Amino acid sequence: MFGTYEKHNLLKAAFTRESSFWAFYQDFREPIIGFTVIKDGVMLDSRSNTFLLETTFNGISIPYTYYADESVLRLTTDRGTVEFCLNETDQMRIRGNNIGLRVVLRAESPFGSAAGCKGIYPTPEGCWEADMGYSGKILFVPLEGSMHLTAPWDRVMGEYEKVWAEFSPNAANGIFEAALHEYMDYRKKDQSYLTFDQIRKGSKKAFDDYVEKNLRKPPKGWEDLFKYVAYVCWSHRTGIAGNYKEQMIMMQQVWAGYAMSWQQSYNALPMLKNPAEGLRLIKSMFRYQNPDGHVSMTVNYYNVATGGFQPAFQALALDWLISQCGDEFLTAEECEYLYPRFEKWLNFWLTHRNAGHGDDRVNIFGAHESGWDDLSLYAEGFPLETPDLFAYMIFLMDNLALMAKKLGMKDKEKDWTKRSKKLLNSLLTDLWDGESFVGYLPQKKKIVKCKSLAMFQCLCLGKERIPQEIIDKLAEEVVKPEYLTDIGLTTESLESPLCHFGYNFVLGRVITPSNMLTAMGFYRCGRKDIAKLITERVCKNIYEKGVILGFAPYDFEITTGKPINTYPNPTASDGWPWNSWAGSSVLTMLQVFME
Amino acid sequence: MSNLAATLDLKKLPFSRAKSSYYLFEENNRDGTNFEPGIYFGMSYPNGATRREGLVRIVPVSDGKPLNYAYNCSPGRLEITSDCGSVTIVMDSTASMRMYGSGIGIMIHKEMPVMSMETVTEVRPNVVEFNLFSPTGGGGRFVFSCVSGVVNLENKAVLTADGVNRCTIWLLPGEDGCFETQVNPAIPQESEVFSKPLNEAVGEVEQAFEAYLSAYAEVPDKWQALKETCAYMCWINYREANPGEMAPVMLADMFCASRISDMQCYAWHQPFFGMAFSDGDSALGAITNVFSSLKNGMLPAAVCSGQLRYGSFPFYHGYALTKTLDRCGNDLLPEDKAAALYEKMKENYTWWKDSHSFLPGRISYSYPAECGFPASSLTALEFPLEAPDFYAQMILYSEVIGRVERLAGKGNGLFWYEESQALKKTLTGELWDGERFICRGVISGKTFPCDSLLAYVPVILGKRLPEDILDKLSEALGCEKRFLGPRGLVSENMTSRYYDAKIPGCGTVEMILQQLFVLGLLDSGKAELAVKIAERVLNWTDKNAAVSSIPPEGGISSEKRPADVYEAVAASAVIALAAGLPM
Repeated sequence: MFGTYEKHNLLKAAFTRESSFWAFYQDFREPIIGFTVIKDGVMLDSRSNTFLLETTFNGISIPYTYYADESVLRLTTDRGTVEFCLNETDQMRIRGNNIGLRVVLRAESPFGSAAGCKGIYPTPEGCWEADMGYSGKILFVPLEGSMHLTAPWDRVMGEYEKVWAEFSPNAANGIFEAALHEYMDYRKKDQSYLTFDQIRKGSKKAFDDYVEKNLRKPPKGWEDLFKYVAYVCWSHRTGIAGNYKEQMIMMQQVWAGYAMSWQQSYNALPMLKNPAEGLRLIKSMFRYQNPDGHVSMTVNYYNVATGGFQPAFQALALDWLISQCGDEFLTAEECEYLYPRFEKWLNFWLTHRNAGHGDDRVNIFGAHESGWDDLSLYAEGFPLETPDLFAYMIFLMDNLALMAKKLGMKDKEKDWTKRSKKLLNSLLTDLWDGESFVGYLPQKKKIVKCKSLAMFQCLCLGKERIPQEIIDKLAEEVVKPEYLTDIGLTTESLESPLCHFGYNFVLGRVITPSNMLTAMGFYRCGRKDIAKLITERVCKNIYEKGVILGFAPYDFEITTGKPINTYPNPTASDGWPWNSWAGSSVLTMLQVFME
Repeated sequence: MSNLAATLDLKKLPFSRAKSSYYLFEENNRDGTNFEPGIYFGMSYPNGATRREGLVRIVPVSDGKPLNYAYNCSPGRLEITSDCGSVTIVMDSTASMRMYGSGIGIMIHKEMPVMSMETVTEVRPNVVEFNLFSPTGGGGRFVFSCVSGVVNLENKAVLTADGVNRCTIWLLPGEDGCFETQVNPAIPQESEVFSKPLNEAVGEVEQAFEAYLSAYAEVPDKWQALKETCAYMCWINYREANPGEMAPVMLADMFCASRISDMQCYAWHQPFFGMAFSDGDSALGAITNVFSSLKNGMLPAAVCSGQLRYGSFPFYHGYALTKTLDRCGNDLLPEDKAAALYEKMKENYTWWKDSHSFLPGRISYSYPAECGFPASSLTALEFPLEAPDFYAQMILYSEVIGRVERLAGKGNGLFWYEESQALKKTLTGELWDGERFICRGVISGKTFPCDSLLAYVPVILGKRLPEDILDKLSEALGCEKRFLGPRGLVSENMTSRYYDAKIPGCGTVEMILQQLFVLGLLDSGKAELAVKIAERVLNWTDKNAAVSSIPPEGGISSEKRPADVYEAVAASAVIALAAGLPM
């Protein structure tokens, strides 16, 4: 899957597994593998707990190549190998054959230092514990062979000069083995340990079970990409620790290591063999619903970001699952749980984001409330009514109507249906100008137009809700060269003066979830041909370039002709790592739109 | 009418209040930056430091034109005055601040990258939200609601990919020449926006601060203003527990290190805050707050709104609890409270022993930074290390656990008495070489002399130590060629090869240690030396500021940000020192 000689490497992807907070990656500066513990959610370039791996022979560092699949990472030298696997809790297991391993602490921030280690010391039971500050602790447990620690203290700097842990094989059999545990407070070593191969097999089974249980078969010819994206989505699943009260999906591993509210529902979309799991993901964020109804923005081990929120994507995801799988998974018991929470979420929007027309029209106060950081529709400010926002409200109302029906609440069902229709009518009359969907500034009483791909998003409402003439008009627009490139749809028309491909997000790059939503919209509006066209281009590019959020369709700015000014290092290239948001989008596209 | 004497220099400390996230300060670029000078809004960032750049400058205006102004600040109000009128800012609650204008208005101008996550929005007429959320956080959120007068937003975006959004918020007087604006960190409902008379708002804040101030002892008149400034600094660094929040982390009120640059509440600072109080309940609260987060026997080394860091730290909780019970009496800890505390302390002590004992009856630091001063000469020795300061901490801890056990009615405290006696025997037997306390490497068994001030910490044992040991300790501490500097006790013997005036803990005057040693010397019957040290520290602090690490020569570090000069734990130590002086 990943490796020195494989199609993809670990420069932007990570070797890890479901429920583990260990992550391995390739350093961008030199061909060396590193590992870190990602529980604290800190971005890679701010991490102080990054360790690099050197293979050694008789104490001398020797070069290696590497290979990783879903269950093992192997470093290969001309003298021997070192392998790593992870269990489902806190253990990293290392096994060396004929060579040694040196684990070197080299922080990304401050770069090159060992400052991340507050203390490393022997424990009374023969292990070593490293206190890594807010990143937690690591317990080094030698199981076979020997371990030697080098950690001289620099008194003037008030930190270690270096922290090196060296594992050496037994002279008799050439093997060394060690277990590393990560945790946040206090731990002793285990009473007993499974073998390396038992742990590895457990990992592989966990991945295979995930695929078998949750996902439909991939379309022919796309099996390889399917495995990559399935691996990404599986490996980004958290353990249950800290604020992760159930398994959630982190956006990225070594970069944005937290679970974003609406992305839990993006990850629900492809659970088409197991919609109950999709529903669980949709429900997961309601653990973090605030008293006023808003669902918190992000969750990580340490924090729940209650100060902001993302779109009510949960309802779109539920509607999608029902459209694909039927609604049997939405039992009366599930409705009893979900109905009041959806209603509270909806009422938050209708109360605190009401657009002031005396009805259910709503607006957003800032970019983070839409999920799209830098949409060109925001050029004239806020508060702003947007078509996708109305779509989310309509989905919420329709979901509530369905659940009310299942719960025997006939009056509520009628009421939600009526309100949904009325809001849909507002969408189609107030936010459609005959050519495109538009936005509206209620304080300034002004329509705003833009050339963003987000203006196609409410097609997800499907042909049951969107009139054919609108579908036809947008179908004609989306395949024009101003949007449709060889690698998929740009998020801002190439003819727009705002279009550019730098670090900005949806102002021009071909963004994977944006493409997925557009494809979904056309699919649900009966234009499966367009959905397939988008899917093929996006997936072909992703298969070549990696499961990444966004790509520049050209290596120069279309508006100026100048080279693209991309985000600064330290990651390789332009700093966009593999992530589950792109992964889940591709999984959805492959399973449905490719046929 | 307030009797408060303190006027606040907002270049050295911010204007705020306890449990609030807002503050104001005066930018003077003392750290070598190049911002526009003036008064700025800031918002404490729960997990770290407020952004250095891009904070919100406020500009008094008349007829749309900026005015020259001066300011006067006391705990109750910040008054900005110009020729045309004035604006008064009051932190009227923990979740709001209020601005009152008379004759002039306020302009707030900001340029934000277009298409960034930072936004300014007119939420509804006369309510403007200014959200510096940004991907990196640390910017703050200010919602300006007009109570009277006008709140206006002007917003002009340069619509290119690298363009800026120029936002100006105007807080302007109405026809009566006045305005009142309420500022909140979240959008208030209409019913939550209300008027409060200025004098009432100021009075409430002053009352709240005076109530806090009354928890400290009286000090000699010459230190009264300094005491008030320091008490204010402690008060504004007092953080509220968040047990009701979605992700409860801070389970008890605690003191943080800095509102501007470090919102962490360090466990080892809390007992020092506690020891400065004369009010028993306030002291007890500060000393025991961290026990609410006990887990697997461990206490967190640092707590803030979104993070808990479990780790080891210098443990003066036992000492602080002993001092507090001695001063206030055992009634401070009724049986039920004592019982709850006893269980936690017992569990924690067991963790210390399990994780820090390689030999029966002995304890040792596992790694250098545990001593609290990573650059101390003590850290140049072999680790794990038996060190006299650690023994002193654990002697007092085990002893007071026994006392709490008796108060809890759970036993006679004998086990704990024997525990502390055993540790004391090792300290005064094997770690005393006849002249001073020494250290011992656990692995090699070698002993090492140590010229760090930390090696003299056992003075806090007071009369538990033999008189000859106390005499030797005080002789060294009182010697102006060894430890007694013009500004207080230096942290390394001046004759030591490790002495370095620039390195914290290795030659500087550490404020926490001044508090510790002055209290210890008073308990040891060395009052004259204690007073001498205290006065030297206070004299310097009064002219400069309460900082954790006083350089033995020269001024305060130029790396400190504006309004981040005073440090809360140092301010607390100043109060403790002043309160220990004869009236």
